[in-house]
Amino acid sequence: MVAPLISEDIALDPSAFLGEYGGYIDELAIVAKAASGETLYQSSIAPSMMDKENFFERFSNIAKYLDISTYAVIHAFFDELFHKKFKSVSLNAEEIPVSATGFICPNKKGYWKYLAEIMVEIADLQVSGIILLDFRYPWRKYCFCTECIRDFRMLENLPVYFHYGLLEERIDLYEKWLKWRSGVLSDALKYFINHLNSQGKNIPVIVEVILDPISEMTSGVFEYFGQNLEELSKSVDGFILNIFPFSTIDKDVITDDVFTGIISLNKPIYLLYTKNLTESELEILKEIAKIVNAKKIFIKFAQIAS
Amino acid sequence: MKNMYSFGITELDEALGGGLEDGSVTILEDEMGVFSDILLSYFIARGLKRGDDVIVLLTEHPIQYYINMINILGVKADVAMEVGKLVFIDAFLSPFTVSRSLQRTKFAIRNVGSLSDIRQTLQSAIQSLGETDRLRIVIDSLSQFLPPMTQSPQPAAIFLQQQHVERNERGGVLLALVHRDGHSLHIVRSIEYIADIVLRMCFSESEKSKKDVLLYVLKTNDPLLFEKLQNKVFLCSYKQNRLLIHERDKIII
Repeated sequence: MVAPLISEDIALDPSAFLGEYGGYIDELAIVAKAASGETLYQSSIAPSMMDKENFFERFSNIAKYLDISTYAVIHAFFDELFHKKFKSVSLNAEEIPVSATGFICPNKKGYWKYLAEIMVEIADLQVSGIILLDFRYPWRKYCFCTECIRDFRMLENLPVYFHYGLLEERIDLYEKWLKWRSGVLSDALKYFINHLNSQGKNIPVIVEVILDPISEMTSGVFEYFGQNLEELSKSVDGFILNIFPFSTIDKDVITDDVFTGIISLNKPIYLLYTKNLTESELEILKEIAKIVNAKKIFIKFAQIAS
Repeated sequence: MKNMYSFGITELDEALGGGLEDGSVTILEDEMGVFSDILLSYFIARGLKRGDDVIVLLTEHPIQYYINMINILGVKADVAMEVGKLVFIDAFLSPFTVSRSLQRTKFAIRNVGSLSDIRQTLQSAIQSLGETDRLRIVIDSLSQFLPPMTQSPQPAAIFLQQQHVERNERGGVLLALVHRDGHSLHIVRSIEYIADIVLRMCFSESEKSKKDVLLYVLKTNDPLLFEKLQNKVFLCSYKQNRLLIHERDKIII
């Protein structure tokens, strides 16, 4: 039920790791493109992480030999390398524009092409699927970068200057804006999948969905992160629920109702837990896994080892 | 610790103390027939591979020529262009076929004889990169700023002086090619004075090995490094799409 997520910050030798734990696991997830923007394999377009240029390939090759399925994890719209160029910006009345550190605006078409090429490269590395983390807007007030303002303004014939506060005041416009920005995200996903298919890479793509009370559980992902799960489900092969990344896990707020919407989409569901894990938290994760019929719970390697 | 810009060629980078130092202006002198454009392509590809922003100003080749060379080195140039990491300035095709040239780049110099045109276009290209931490500017070649009839190094010298100040203030490096055999000695010397680093690629003058391409480091901005390098000669060879540079005494000729 539990599988390791090997992140970029973990120093371990792939052969030593799989030699020790390979017998206990049938799946694992490894970060292929880190939050820094660097890759853990030799890419022809992205810089490779120092001393980890072959980390992913070594892992996936040995895993394949041991019949272990490898999922490649990509930080999609989070990239410290491109952040300055394609930053996601919030804008509100009388506030200075704030960029979300590391987050990329999902409306940058040039970055789509870049990410799509990375996905094609990764598809060649003996992987069973690609997990897209950070496939979202950073938060509710994003994005108001120049392109987003231009595109939405042209669509709705708005004045040159508008911001989140103004949109919130006009509920009809606010809803149109939410729909528009979620459409951008869905279009990005379609673009990635079409690009993969056009290159003959028919590989499952799984998208991260944040499950946290701060962002109103799964029902809040549309308003907070711009994810229209119904629309995304037409293109993806599964969702991975990132359990309580911002809050302490609380059994009381986890009810069957929380998951009704996502279960009804009829897509495979995986769980992800990235924080230090206690035994009681593991029990809660197992309960959630039961409710959503999760295929796997991915946990950071350090926690599994302990 | 110094911020360096490497070529991705181990022995050359090691000899230069890690590559070209941030804020420096470098001249690569060549002569007809040596594969200096390959060395420039390595410098561009290396920059893209490590996430640097790269501007390439071309006066003697169409853009596609460099795109092909960068692709051969394992970097997808079109993707780098799409995300704005690689920007070409076309000063080759643009005077004749502006519309065709502008399909590949927004930046074209219509008159390479006009310093203000060159400078403004370069500034616009730099601005298009947005905030940049690391910038490589490559020019192939500066010789076109010095037409054959010009007996003065002034245009290239002024351009280099401007770049010298800008790179010092804003960071990044400039690597420009100059055809040593296309100008009189005093013109080349005048440019060498302004550059921080001078590299020279040329054929061997020895009768025994006159087909060998050699590389010398004629000047660096670090006196200690120069002391180490002034008597060294590097042998360059290009085989199976790979540029090899070794210290001459280390290999059997």
